[in-house]
Amino acid sequence: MVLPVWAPLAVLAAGAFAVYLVARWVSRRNGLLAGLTIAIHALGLLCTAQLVRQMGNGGPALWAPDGAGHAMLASEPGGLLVALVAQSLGMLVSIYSGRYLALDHRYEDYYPLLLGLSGGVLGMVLASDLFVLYIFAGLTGVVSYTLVAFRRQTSTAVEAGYKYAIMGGMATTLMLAGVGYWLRAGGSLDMLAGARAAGSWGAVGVALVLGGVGLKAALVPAHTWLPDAHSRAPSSISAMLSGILVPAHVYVFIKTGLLLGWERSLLGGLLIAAALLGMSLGNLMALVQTYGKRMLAYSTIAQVGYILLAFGIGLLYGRAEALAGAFFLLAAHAALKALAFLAKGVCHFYCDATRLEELDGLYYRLPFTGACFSIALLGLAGFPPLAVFAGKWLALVGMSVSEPLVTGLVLLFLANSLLSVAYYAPPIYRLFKTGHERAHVAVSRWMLAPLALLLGIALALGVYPGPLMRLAERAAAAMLGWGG
Amino acid sequence: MVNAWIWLALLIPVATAAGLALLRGPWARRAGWLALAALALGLGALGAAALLIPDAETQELWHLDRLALPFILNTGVVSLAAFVYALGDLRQAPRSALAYAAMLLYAASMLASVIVADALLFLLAWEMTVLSSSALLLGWGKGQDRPRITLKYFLYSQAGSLLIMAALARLAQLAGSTRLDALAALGTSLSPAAAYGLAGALLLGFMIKLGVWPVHGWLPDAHTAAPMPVSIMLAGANLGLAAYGILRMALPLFPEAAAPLQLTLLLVALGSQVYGAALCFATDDLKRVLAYSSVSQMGYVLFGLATLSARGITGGLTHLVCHGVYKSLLFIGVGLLGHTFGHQQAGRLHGVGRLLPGIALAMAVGAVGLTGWPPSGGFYGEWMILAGGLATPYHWLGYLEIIAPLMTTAYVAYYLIHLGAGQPEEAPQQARLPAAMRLSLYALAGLALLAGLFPSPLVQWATGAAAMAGGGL
Repeated sequence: MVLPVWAPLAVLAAGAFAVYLVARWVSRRNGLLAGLTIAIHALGLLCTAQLVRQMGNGGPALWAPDGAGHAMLASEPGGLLVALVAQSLGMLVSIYSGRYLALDHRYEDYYPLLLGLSGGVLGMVLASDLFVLYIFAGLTGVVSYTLVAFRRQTSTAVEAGYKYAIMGGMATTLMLAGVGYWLRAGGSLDMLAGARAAGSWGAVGVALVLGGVGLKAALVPAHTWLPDAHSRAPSSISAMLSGILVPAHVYVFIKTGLLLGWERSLLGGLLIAAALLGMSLGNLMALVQTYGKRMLAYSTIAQVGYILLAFGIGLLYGRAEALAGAFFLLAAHAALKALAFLAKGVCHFYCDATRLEELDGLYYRLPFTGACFSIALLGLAGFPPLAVFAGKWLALVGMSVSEPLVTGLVLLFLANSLLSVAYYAPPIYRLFKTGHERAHVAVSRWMLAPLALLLGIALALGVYPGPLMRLAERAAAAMLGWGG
Repeated sequence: MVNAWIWLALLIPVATAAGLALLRGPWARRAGWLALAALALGLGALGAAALLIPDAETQELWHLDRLALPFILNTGVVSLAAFVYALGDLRQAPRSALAYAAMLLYAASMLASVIVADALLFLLAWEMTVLSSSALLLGWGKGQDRPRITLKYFLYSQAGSLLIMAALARLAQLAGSTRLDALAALGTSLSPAAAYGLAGALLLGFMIKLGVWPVHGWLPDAHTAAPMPVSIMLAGANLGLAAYGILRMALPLFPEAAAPLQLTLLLVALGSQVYGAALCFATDDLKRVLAYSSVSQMGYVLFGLATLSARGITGGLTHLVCHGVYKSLLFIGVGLLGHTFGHQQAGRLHGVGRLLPGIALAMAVGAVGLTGWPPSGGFYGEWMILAGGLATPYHWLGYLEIIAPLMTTAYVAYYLIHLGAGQPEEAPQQARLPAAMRLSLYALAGLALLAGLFPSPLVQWATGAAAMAGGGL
């Protein structure tokens, strides 16, 4: 049987509804609801994996409900890769929430929203219709604003959510306006059909759509909402936002730009500029942070900058290897950033550590969590044999172009990587500082399990990058195929 | 067969390290002995693979070739000495079992970085040396300043590693393989601009680890703050691995047109020699004196390599191995003085030679070795470096190579006379020194004498390695 492209989406959407109903009328036990959410994510993951397996050598499998070939969703390798990462993270975060949410209690809001977030990302990256893309971007936005402001008793969380909502609202409005201009200029909503809008109104339309997506991909200087949102959200949600939501928008930015007719070199140049701003600003700002999660949030801007750089060079010079490296880096960053946020969340949950100096000696109270946090930071800094090292290596191999410009860019990339060590290393020292309270704290298995799993994934991707790299290579080839 | 031995050589130390980290109770007090035994077993397995099996040279993941041999020897001897010394030195330290575990990892990753034949495995081993030594520096070092010093060391090391990684990635892309021999074989086919840039990146990356002026900033602080066994391994073995990297990866990329690079390297090497030697007069802390002397001595090694001639490289390698012995010996001597008097300030150690004649004599053996006067082993290396330098197109620089040995003689004489002559001012705080610490000192002194009197095996190994590294020159 051939699985339709909408199958994983349907699983997540129906699942979100089901979890809500169970929470309202059957039971409000956290463990049960977390278990359900895990199961739904697992089912969605299986469906997505099946879609990957079904991918033939020809074009993408399409879902065209009108019967006339106007596709709403397309299962193409890049989108599936992002979708796999999103649902894996969603599943791990659900496990984590099985204990983490005990302080908040509002399970009937949280779990459906979490499923909505995974589902929104899934729909966004698989959409091949411009309006469907807009719908899913809007849905993802609404869900994520709500989740950022989930702790509504804290004013900072509400403020961050509000700020995010204003910025996100602007972004979706821009997108909608862009869709309008695009249609008015005679463009087709079916992005894969290749019917492109003519004239300057069409160009304005594309620019507005890309502006909207770029705002939500936190491309510097439109990043100002990110540090607030990612540091004020519950840690489990921060892991989702930093790990996959922002990179997914980067992917959508590139996909939409190429499919709506932007030149590959133009888009590549733009991405490189955004990368330079992003990695430099992210690293410099991360250096001066005093709150752990805010530091991790700025580190996301920097790491997304690396991903953008590899994508940009790949597009500018038409190098599939660099694009594949960028896809790999995206997945690698997701694993390690999620590990860092979740470990940080444990420190907060059990020991109330939010500022960096409150991490002092925490390893002795939370040995496994402290070790995971240290390894995550080292991994993000690019130490072998973890995933980001493999990603950086593959990206560097891919970015090997004999051009003075690229050599300069690679040197800036290296300088930024070095700069990042200066903020990834000191918290590790803090964790292992002696002379603080040493009483062990028993951490719930709900929270330890996802840490262990993420650690395993980060290690496996670093040591054995082959399988993911094969998918990344297909995604890269597909992406080059879109370019004009 | 060979693979099995090499796996054993690396797995025994790593597994023991993992075990030591978990060790509790009375066995934890024997952690030092367990670590020493694991290191000895690992080195034994490596030696068995290298010596007993005739065709052990190149395997899929490893190479135990002539180029690796001097470095294995150097790392092995220095690490053994450091471990024996640590039996006495780290015994009282807090969480000593963990420290021994980190030392084992450090030694194993240094050995691994010499014998792995794949660029990614090399980077893994290389980063593990940085991580384990940083952990030791941070966790068991001296002084309030050590978080800052560790971060400095870490950042310098990372700067080097990133340059090396980027260059290797570019080469891997060109060669379509990550095997080091495939990368090295690219040398002749690279365009001059690419070879120039890549060799420059690799050289700069490794020179940071080599600790030569002007990228030596991490070295004096790290050597001073590190616990003594780690200073020994850092100065005696780890710096030398950078020379290995240059010989294995950077030199094969030199096309004949890269003459400007040679001049820069020779000048940097000379600058390092003179700068390091001059700074030896400027500090009172004996450990710091030794650290600056490393900056100077690594300048000799770099000068030898930069001559790009078989003789110069042989000299550099001979000097490197000898320096490993001398420097470990001197560090151990300073450590024993520190144990006895509670400090290592030269100004307050006037005339201690009368109180501790054995230690002073052993240190004199090492110190004379640094100067390169015959019949010390240092003589052969420095002589060949000088000869190599005179044979380069820049032979006028070869004459300048005489300055640093004279300065070295001056500072060695100054400190030897200062410590050896006159009336002691302070009484020892601690009369008895652990036997293990003294044993490591005298064993190294014996080795140092041997290297001076019977240098031919050492020179032969170095010649073999130089022939291999210089094959493409």
